[in-house]
Amino acid sequence: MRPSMEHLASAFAQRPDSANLPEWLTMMQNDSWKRARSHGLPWRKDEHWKYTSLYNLAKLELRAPETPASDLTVRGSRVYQNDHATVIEWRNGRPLTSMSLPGGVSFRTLGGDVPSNSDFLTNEPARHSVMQDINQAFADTVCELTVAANTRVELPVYLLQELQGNNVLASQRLHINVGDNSELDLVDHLVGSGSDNVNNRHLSIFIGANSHVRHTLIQQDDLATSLINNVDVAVSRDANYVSQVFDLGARLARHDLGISLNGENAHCSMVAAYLPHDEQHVDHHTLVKHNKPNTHSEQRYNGVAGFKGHGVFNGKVLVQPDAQKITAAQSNQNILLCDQAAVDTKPELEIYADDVKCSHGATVGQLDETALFYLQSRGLGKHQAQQLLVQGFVRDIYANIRCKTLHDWLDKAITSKLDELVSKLQ
Amino acid sequence: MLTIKNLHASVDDTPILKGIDLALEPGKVHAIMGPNGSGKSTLAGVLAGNPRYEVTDGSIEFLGHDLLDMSTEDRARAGLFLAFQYPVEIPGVNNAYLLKAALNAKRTYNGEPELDAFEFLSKIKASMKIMEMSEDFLKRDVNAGFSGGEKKRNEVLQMQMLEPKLAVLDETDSGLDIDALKVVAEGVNRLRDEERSFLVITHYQRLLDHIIPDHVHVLAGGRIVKSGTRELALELEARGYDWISSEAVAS
Ligand SMILES: Nc1ncnc2c1ncn2[C@@H]1O[C@H](COP(=O)(O)OP(=O)(O)OP(=O)(O)O)[C@@H](O)[C@H]1O
Ligand SMILES: [Mg+2]
Repeated sequence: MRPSMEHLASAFAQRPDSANLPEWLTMMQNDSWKRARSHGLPWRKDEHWKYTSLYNLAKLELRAPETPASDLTVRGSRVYQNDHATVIEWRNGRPLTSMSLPGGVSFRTLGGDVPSNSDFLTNEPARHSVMQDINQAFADTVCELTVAANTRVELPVYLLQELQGNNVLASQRLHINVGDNSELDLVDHLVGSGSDNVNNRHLSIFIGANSHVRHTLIQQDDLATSLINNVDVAVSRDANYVSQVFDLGARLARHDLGISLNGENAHCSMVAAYLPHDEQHVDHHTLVKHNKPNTHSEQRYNGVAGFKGHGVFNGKVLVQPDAQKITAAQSNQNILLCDQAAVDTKPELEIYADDVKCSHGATVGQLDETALFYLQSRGLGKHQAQQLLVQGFVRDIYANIRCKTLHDWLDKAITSKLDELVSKLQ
Repeated sequence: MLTIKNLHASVDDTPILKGIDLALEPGKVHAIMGPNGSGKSTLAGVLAGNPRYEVTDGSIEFLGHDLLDMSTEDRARAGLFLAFQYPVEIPGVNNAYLLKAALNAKRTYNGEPELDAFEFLSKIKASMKIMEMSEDFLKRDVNAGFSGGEKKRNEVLQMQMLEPKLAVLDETDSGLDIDALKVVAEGVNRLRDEERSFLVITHYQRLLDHIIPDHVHVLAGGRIVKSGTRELALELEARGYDWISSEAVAS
């Protein structure tokens, strides 16, 4: 049976302030809710939800968040202080602060009349998911971040997002529009606390011709938080999208990353490290659509599953009939640290063109015994040796990050996470 | 230093070592020679505590400890070093980092303070000079992409740094060019003193011209079938192993 939508239905009926929303938004919410309702929550019989169950999530008596108080005290450490990045703070899915933005960058919340230039609200994503409909049904603050054409944004834009309270369903909806010949470094930091909160977010990103967007997502939710992360990216000709995701927390983290390579010589590179343990479940679903010739994609997903950790990877590359001379490389490597760790992996290729270079590979294995013995024979304790090996495997994912602040922050956070993973082994 | 008695060991239930007796005194160099597959690396692995091998009988005493009772890391910290026949490539683990971690693990075990960055650096630079290694190796990952000879040098570099009480060198000479052989031998000889012992596994008399052994043993079929002085190595070089096997059978 599909998980019940009853709690979501009552949350929808009792949305705060729903009467004060602009008419177009209320209509959009209602339409989306109808679609979601008629489909129902995804479950294991839906192709893309075979390994990830939403039963526990459906049991939560969720409600849409109240309007936030104005201050933000994010627990845990910030990656950037205010003078090293343009910080946009969020709580429970809504933006908080009036930030000062660099030239060429603007941020708006869509309200009032039917918004202009908002095709993104109706665009078809690379892959549609009911969770996007649910996001759209609940999102009452639709935001857009715009980078004008010919703008090189020097400092990273740091989206620092916190969940607070309990039983909150946060529904962040953000569109990022990057004009032609521009460059943006986006660091997306999720810090969920409180209890039984769900972050069902939807980010859509449009990248204009010859532009570059680097998108780092650090997921540091606590163990009582669930994340459904819908990211949809459209990449124009000669443009480049880089996604780097680090799953350091959350009870359930589900990533749906859909990328459409829509112009010749569009490129995307996706890497991730996920480190589930202690009943954590991390699921990466990716879809890359090669819609035009000479487009390129590469994926490198490295997972380490500790005691009672579960990882899922399902990566699909779809090559359209006239998309000749594309290259697509996909790799998913996993290390299981003990018997009670599990990973399900399924790389997929669907190719309708004949002149393509595609490769994919997936491995699930244990730590290399010989390497472990080598390190121990040099005097390193077993846990230290395990940690070093795992760290080497994960470092492969973030070693190339050029921003030293970000690199060092990640290095520290990942080291202490791995320490935790390894110390729970016998 | 080291006393091995009646040592039997198996791999995946296949007996490999079938009763080894061997005693090493402090300050001595013992060479072990023997045909391929005779169990030399197995012996080295058992000494270092490789979990691949199961010891089915016998005992090993090392500096008063029951060696078989100790974890691999404690054996290393107590002063046992194994230079691998096939050093392991470990991508993602930095060479200098490993050396520092190894050194400090040992120091902590022996109740000594950890080295600070400066002390470590000067120590390692001195060792790299002896081994004629470029300092670039410090920045690289452990053995990753090293040539065969570079890996062997790196093993000896680690030995220099860790200053073990007993070093087991498993074919550290194979794959080395003539100059590298001299460098490696020099790296070993510098460490020789009245206290430190070496167990040198080799196929070639050539190495023993540089590292002069006190005793030479022949391991065949999982047993030490002959022991002698360095002249035995010369004889083996000239005559091969067959005559020993027949001699052993005859006796
Ligand atoms: N899993 C196994 N099952 C059965 N026999 C094994 C297994 N692993 C190794 N052996 C055997 O153990 C024997 C001893 O191997 P070892 O590596 O100790 O030889 P060695 O004397 O070091 O040889 P070399 O001079 O070639 O280095 C070999 O005959 C080898 O085939
Ligand atoms: Mg051998």
